[in-house]
Amino acid sequence: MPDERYDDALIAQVAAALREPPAPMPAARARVMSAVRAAESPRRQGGLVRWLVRPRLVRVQPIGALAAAAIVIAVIAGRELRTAPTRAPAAVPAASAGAQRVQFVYVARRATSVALVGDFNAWNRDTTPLKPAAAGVWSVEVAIPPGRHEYAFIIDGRTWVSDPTAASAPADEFGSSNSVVLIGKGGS
Amino acid sequence: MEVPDTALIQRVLGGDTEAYALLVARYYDRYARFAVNMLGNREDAEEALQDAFVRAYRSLGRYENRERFGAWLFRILVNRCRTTAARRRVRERVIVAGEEMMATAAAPAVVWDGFREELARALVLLAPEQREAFLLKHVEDLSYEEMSVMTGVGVSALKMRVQRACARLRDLLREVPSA
Repeated sequence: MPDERYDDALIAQVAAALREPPAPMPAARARVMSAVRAAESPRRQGGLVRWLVRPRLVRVQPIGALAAAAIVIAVIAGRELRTAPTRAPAAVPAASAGAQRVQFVYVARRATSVALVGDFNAWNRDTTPLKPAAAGVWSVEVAIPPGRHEYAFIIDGRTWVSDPTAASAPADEFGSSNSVVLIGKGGS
Repeated sequence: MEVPDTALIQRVLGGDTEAYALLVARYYDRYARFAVNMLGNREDAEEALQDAFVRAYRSLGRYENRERFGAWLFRILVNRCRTTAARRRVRERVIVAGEEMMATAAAPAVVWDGFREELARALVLLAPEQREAFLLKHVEDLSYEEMSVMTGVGVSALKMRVQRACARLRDLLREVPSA
């Protein structure tokens, strides 16, 4: 709908000029694949869980079904008895080689949700929610691989903020700087 | 028939690294436009693109089909462009002083004639957040809702940025004859 997008001819002309594709960059594309081959291979996450919940056809005899149901009830009851006295653990992503567990804490008394985003979770706002504790203290523990990582918090699903307790926060010309966490030798 | 992104991703996760080359071929040039327009030169754009593709590759195990791979990759690229621009800005603060010299230093390596050359300079003079919003809206054709998800900025703030970018571009380009 050009009439809605462009409020005048000059802006339409600017947009048209900027839509022209840049000259192909075959050498740069080749360098990308060189860097990819040198990078750590991606791993499937949650493979066991996916296998367990995958739909499958199971044929059982009535007597077998009763036995299976008894086993399931026993297992669930056992889990309840073992875990009931303890505090529920925070969601922690699968650890990779050399990863260190880091606790992220943010204080936001009036927030209804706080999420952690960073390069270690592909800036995905859904994967690492912080859990509320007392007096507006939100926290989550995450296993992070060695290296320098940038991160931020998202308050109530819309406001990006840096970590006021981070040791260093790089300059960000957009006014909402990321924080930095260093993991590994010489890191914290 | 083109192999779907999801099939290529499954191949990569299964150990076939070279299948990722097909995704690179599919998206590199498409997204190079945004990176070049945003960063103003090919060198920085190539750096941001490479960084985005490598980060996406390393994170592929966490990619969960909840959004298109292309959109997910583009979100990573937008963020890498921010980081690259911030890094360049710090570097330029050390090397040069003054907006005029900074604009000259950040001018594109590719030389265009007339309108395109002035447009490139005008883009450099836009505030980065205005440039980003303008490009996402008017060049990449994203809706404000899509932009909000991608950038983490509210719709009303994005509309304001686009309006300010348009006003600034009009001021900067008013006297420039069209190509």
